[in-house]
Amino acid sequence: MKTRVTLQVNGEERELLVQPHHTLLEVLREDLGLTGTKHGCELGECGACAVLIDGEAVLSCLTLVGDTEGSPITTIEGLGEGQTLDPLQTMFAKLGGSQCGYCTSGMVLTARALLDRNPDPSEDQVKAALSGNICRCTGYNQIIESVLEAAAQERAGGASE
Amino acid sequence: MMRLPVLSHFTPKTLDEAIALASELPSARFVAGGTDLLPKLKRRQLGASALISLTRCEELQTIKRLDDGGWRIGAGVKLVELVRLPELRSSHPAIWQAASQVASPPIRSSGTVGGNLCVDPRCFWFDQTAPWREAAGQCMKIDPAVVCRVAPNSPRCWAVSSTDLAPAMGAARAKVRIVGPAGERTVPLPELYRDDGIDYMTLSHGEVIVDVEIPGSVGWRSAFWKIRRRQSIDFALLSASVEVFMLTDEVLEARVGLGAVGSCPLFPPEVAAVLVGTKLEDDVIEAAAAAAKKLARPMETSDMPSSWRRRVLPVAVKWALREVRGDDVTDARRRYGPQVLLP
Amino acid sequence: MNSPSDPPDSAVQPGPVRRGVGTIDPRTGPTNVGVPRTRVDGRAKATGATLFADDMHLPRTLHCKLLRSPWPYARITGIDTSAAEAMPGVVKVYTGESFPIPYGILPVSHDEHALCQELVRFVGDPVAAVVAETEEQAEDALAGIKVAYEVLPSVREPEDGFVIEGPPIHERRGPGNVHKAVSFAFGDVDEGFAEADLVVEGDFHFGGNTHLALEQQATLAALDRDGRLTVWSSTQCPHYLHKHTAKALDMAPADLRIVATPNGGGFGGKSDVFNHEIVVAKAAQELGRPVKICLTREEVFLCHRGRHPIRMHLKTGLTKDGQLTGVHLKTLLDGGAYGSYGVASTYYSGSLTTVTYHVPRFQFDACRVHTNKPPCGPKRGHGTVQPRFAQEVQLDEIAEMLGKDPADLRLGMLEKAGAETANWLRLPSIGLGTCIKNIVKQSDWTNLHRKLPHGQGIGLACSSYLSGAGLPINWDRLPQSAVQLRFDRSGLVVAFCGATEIGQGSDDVLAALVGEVLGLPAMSIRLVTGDTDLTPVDLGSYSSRVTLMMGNAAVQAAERGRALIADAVAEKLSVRASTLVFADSRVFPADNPDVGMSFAKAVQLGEQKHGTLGTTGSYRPMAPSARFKGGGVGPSPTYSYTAAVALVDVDVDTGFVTVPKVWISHDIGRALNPTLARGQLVGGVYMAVGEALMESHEARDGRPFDEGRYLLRNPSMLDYKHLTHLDMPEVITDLVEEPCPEGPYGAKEIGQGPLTPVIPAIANAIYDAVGVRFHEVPITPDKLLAALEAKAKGAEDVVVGPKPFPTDVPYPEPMDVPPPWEGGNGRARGEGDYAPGQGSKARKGRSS
Repeated sequence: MKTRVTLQVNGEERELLVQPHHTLLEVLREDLGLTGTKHGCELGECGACAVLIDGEAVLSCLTLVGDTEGSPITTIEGLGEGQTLDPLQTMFAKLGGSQCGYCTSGMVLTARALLDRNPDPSEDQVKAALSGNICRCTGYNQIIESVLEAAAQERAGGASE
Repeated sequence: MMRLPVLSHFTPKTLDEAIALASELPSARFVAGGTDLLPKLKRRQLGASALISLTRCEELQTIKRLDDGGWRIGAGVKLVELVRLPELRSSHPAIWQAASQVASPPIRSSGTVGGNLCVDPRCFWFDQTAPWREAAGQCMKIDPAVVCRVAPNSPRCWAVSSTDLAPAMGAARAKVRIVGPAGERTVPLPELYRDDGIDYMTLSHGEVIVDVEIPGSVGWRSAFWKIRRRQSIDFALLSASVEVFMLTDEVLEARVGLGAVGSCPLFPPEVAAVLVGTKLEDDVIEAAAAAAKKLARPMETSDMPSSWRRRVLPVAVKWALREVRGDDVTDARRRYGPQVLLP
Repeated sequence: MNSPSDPPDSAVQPGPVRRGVGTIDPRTGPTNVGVPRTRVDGRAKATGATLFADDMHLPRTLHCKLLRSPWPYARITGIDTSAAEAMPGVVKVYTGESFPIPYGILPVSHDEHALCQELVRFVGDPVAAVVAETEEQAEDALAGIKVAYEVLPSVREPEDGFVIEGPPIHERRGPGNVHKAVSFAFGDVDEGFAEADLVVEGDFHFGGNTHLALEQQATLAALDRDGRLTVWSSTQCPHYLHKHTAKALDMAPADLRIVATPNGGGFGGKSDVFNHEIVVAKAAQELGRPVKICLTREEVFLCHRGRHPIRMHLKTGLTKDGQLTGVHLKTLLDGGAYGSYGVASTYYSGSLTTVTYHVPRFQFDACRVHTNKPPCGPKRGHGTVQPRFAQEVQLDEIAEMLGKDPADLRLGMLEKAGAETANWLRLPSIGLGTCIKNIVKQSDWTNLHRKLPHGQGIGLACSSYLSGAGLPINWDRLPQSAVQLRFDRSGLVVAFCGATEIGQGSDDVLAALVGEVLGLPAMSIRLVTGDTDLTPVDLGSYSSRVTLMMGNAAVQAAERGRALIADAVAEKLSVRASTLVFADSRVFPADNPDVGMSFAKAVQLGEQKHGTLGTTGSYRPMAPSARFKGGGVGPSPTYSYTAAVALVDVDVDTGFVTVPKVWISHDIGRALNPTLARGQLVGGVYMAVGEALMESHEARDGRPFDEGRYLLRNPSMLDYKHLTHLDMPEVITDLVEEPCPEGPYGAKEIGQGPLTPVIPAIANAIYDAVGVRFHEVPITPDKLLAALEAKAKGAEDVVVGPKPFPTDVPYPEPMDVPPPWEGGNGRARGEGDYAPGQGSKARKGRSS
């Protein structure tokens, strides 16, 4: 039995009829067509599905869609402004933070939440903040470098390249 | 994709509403963060006709400092809120350390205090998908007619307690306030649990943990150590939480909580007793660790063999005791709990 | 390589390129090659815009789910799908009857059917498929399929498979469940051991593990508006998927279009042709609606095709001054239920033994046995990782016995560039000596080895990997990679190539090399890849072949285009074509840049003179020297080399091993994009540390009530342990760039090589730290703690290793193939050339 929900996704209000047992992951991908949010396990064990809700990185695979009404949701599609990328996105593409790209959405959003709260994190803080996001390609080091460089650029007030 | 079974979802705004709903729907379950329940529903380990979210119930969101320096913390408070509470970190380090090491950061952003206290005991034979379990022939936790796979001659299930907060909060003498259709009651935290892998909590259907009251800690020193295979995401293979009350350098009172070495958290008075009247000398620490080892009965439920977990439990106890003694444990923390080293 | 003043051979010669091509123009320096750059597909990935297979959606898509066997070995005695067919939303239910044509990735083992016919061979083997309106309805309907099984005695361990009761897992193989058994004698090893001052023997075991790519396999199939079937799939090998899907569905390949979607990681796990791909293809074809499937994580574990567990017995003889006199390696591979790439894996389990250190006499016996478990196949390093572990650990033991430093020992026995090994592998370039010297310096090796406090240790190991298999899987003389270029009069260049981006950076290599020749930034090249309608054949992203083979083809295509354009521009400007420089998106005479023009204008001139501009380039490796049956697995145009040093920290109270730091030096020839190259180094280290310490794809321990069910112990991302951010070491990377004449701009592979040496380096470091030898992987805390306790009780020479190598492995009599220095000619003694598919007795001239 479908139910009506109103979601705020990337600053846009969307009214939908959804199955109440569907998670935010399924609604984002299948009802809203926002396939930037990925899934690696659907059980909360890999971090690929991370999105921001109220600025916090949470796992959309373990979030019931009905629990997200009234909270601003940000997916990877919501980062950046028009043609201008978020500095995290620019750095992941430039410094090797992204190889196959499959963990990138969740990784970048989780890093975004970190930097929004702590604009000058140490390497250890970055590692800890991202420790729920698995990557099988990069070995993590270039991800950390991408985040630290993006943070440095933002602190310097530079726009992304 | 793995998906939840078809079910209804309710988002009541008050606790009374939530409890009333639960009374009307005998096969409904409460859900808070969902980080323990949803995976199990997706794997069809459990069923539910409906989920009743507790996330909007204000009554569960308290974070209050008490007059004695203690805390009242709502069951609906997210673990990340505890991690971001420097006052808790200094007043009750073990509880803060436990909260900081649960699972992984995004899980701590949704997972709640109450949810962690209620984590379902785990086992390799149980925490698997439906096709896997069918191929395996199920286990007692799914079907009481089947033997317990890790203890075939035992009449009970040996799934392992996997909560991190319970050993720490229990050792800190926490009490738990519960509300249900029959009214309100408060119990010492250890009484929340039963030593059974299936029937592991003393809550009845429709009862909800409202908050945890943690007494003040003036004079107490505490530490929580969790050993897991990887430094994030994983459940504990074993954990130890120690609390010692000292006015000078002599232990006047002590409490110890042990996690993941039985179907419920253990709070062995005999281990705590070893510490009382001592200055936590090396031989005292050894003796306390050895006493803890005797009580641990891990089974083949987890990633590492039970023989190893039994051997390593004393190591965790020793590190916790060294920490409260004031030793520099930074190097060991880098290996077992780097989260607690972060500023 | 030629100077850029002359038109390059590749542009002039009529056929495919056979050697390395591409030279950086000394007049301008590089445009893309060697420049750390944003990867060309980076923006798409960072914005979530890359469409992976499960992201694709078409209207009216139906969803498919597979029913899988709950038994490890059984005969299907009946299937009743009627209840499922009646369930809500169900459109069709398939069983094996609809898929009678077998297929398999290797010509010699077409042993798979899209749905099992009569036998199920492992828990998870697909038995039936439901196609329904929604994925949930398809899943629910699986419960409505009733399958009756007659359970058969199943086999779990290879050594239990030589002599069996009941039917073998595959007919026409054997004895018992043996899939493949080979033996080669390149010289007489016993002579070698007789000459040796020291002979060392040991048993080793490398446990199975799996790729765990983050993206689960997914496939979408649909008829296009012309009624032709298109299949989008997360595959590393669209060409093979094309070939085998056409075969399995009895279609003409020209009627089928395969599109490889970008892979969210592969590592070899998406190189096979899979049941689900063929099922949805047929369903889409029959039902006239798109059909999609996405595997759950557990199903990915069941598909597997991962690293074979291998038992090994290694015997090495050498002189007291550290020169090898003979090596005899025996391997026993646990193949799982199907062939996959397993025959190749069998050969790989020994063939690269000789490419790092000079081995004058080499015998290698290998045997792969079927078991009733998920099939094993290629995982990063494909069959070479396991024996290299044994080799490098044993060398460490040897170094200690001889009183030599492990680095010096290896330096003293290195093969030389230009060598041909005992088993007829040609080694065009070897930078391993530089790698070892660099890493010794960077890690401060000499001051740390055997000098760190108890519990800390440092270990070293080396290895090598192919840059593409020298012979194709399906033997023919066709190019193995090709690139087509379209030059638009707007100045846009579009490159078409069958290669697949799996994260390794193949798109970036393609764009960078085409752009290098034409003086265009990599980012400006538009790419069309992995589409069997649109792109010329590239055999696939496996075997570390893409940079070298695609790269050389790309350079040829671009140089041909450049020659045409230069010819027209030269005429217009009245200069010699060789004076023209292509740089900064312009074309101009070197001595007079101002009279040049934009690249777009240059293209227009070219089009005006030569007609519409389109070029192709292709590559085929030179024929290998090996001319004996089985000699086709091992040869490569060239080999990369890697040296690694690992620092470990052992907690002696728990057995936990931490790896704070790894140094890794890789002989890459030329780093085309240093940022991406470094990413492969760190990524390889990451996966290696995981394999060394925790990754394990294994069946449950037998218990009385398991009834031989051989379930996977840990088919989830939580339980299959792999490193998180907080478990990863610091990695110091070093790229050794001694350009190799076989590679494009001198480049060799880096995608697979770096993983291999790190695992034995860690084992050797643990020995340095606490005096415990590991002859098996993974090295887990419980095993190490038990070993430390044994040591504390006074045990000497504590070795954690497998039970003794079985003595009854049914190896054949060794094939006698004399090495080069014993007058050999690459053939088995007394035989003619072996040409694949044509029998060993054929006498043929040397093909080229």
